[in-house]
Amino acid sequence: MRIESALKQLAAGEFVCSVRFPDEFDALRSPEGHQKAKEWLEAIGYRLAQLGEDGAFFMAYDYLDVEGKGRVREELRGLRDRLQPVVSFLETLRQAQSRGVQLQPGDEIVHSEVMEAVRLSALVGRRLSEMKDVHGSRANESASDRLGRILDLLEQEGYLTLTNVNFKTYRITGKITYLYQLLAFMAEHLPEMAESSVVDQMEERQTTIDDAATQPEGK
Amino acid sequence: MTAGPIKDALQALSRHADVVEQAVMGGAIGQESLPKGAVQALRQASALRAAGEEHWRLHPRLREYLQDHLQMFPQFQSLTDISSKLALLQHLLTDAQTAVAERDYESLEFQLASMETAVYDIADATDRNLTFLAGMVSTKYGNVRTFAAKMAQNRWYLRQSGILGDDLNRLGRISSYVEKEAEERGWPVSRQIRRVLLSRAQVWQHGLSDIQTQIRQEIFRTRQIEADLRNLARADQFLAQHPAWRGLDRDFDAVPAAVLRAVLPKIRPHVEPTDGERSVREEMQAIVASLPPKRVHIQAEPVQPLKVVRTGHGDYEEAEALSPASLALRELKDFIATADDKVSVLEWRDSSLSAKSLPAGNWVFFATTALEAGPHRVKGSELDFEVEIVPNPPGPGRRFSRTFRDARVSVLRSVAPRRVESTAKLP
Repeated sequence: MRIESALKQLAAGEFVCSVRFPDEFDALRSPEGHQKAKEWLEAIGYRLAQLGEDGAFFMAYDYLDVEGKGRVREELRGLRDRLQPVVSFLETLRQAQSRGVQLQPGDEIVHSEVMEAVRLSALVGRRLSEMKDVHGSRANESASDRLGRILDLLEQEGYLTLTNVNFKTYRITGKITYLYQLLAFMAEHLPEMAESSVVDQMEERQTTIDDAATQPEGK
Repeated sequence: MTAGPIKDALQALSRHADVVEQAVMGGAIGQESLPKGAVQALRQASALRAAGEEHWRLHPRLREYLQDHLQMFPQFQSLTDISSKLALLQHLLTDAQTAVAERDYESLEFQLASMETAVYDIADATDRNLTFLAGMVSTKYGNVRTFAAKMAQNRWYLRQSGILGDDLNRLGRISSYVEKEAEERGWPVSRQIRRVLLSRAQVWQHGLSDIQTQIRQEIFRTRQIEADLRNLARADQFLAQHPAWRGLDRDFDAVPAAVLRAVLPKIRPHVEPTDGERSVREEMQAIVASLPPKRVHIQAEPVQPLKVVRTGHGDYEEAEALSPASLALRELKDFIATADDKVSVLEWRDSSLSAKSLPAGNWVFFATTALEAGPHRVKGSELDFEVEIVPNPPGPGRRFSRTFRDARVSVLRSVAPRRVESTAKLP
């Protein structure tokens, strides 16, 4: 039964990882299930792919026909829409985490812990309040509600899975590796994303102050 | 050394176990937090050392022993030094050879006993180091709280494992040499070296190699994580600084595997109606139950001519099945038409079986409503009735009542009979 469920998830375009779909992931990892999934996908013109060695399974094109090429091109062309909210939210989470954060599959994110970090850091608090792309957010809502909305959105996108409703505890799913692959690809092909090209906002501000300080008065 | 001082030292540690525990967990402890007599007793057992003027710390060897016992390792613990013990073994061998040359058998016996102890110490230290390293790499954070600290720790243990590797090489070389020399002279320590060191050297080497591989993989992974987080931060800033950028608008030779992810349209299976499988049958029944009700087309029936029967009064009435209420109403109308005075609907009810088949309240309401809606055809003439409602008394504190209990009815006026157009024929 688990392999059937795994195949359905693959067909729906889900990333089947050990965090979000543990039973299906185990089924795909077993030699028998792996073989069955491989054969089934090959029979309909796709292949079973995996993100890294222990990463999530997903269904990929076996070969790129015209339609497939078009879809890939379309996906790359619209990367901003796909990445903007998620990157922005995850970077805020990264900055908000007081403890060393890895944002790797299986890592836990607890609403109250992040909120505590937001309370301690004015910078992160401001970043959270100024964040766009939070669907349904209101201007006067509390930081906690806003954070809850962000976590819900990441859950809907498949990057988080809710593990404890009462304590609002989430776990990062294997889909995040997909995001990192995309970001690494962007970093490789976008000269503007190279270390020297991305202007550190803090440095920029400092330079502006320095410039102002060196300007003669009245100018 | 006699048994007395050892027993005293252990008893002192036992008596002040709380202080010892506090010192292991917390480091230096203040004079004020120590119970009276504890400092003196533990100082006499050499378990406490002064740390400044008013603080005390535990003897490092005692701390090390307890940490070993509890498998509690600090963040950047060094491995137990083996090379000094190997040097000692080599030195003891030279001393033993000298004792043989000088025929100093008493010294020889002491040197050989010391060599045996050194051999066991080397084996214990190597075992401990390997256990410690394996423990460190198998825990995700290994006594550190941050990702950066974990990376630093991994680098530290990789260096430490390198040192242990050198030590193991030296151990193999030196112990082989000592074993060969001892074997030539027939010293029993040669057998111990073979059993305790040489036979296990290869296992240690393999174990260390595995640990080093694991640490390297861990370091690679932490570097990967570092790169991921760096890319995340850069992408965030890039997107903020380039609001017009929409995406990568060109063809690439190679794209990340995840971009090749495909999505099938939603699978919409159908149920085979002839399938006899239980679950399918149940599903079919559920589908049928959820369908809207079948629209029934009623074909208009041809209108039958009215059947007319002759009654005793010479009137023509429709032969239809009347309800008890209608029958009672008809009887009431006949009664009122012939009555001289007003008729109480409720009282009349007692005289009619049909009317009594209805609850009193229902009957009064039904009769009143029907009689008010005149004119009525009674015995060939059309009549209107005057209906006088008999209300219930008003409730306490109220002036009017909204309910009634009876009605008194009389004939209001007679209306000229209407001509009945009928195509009905007499039988």
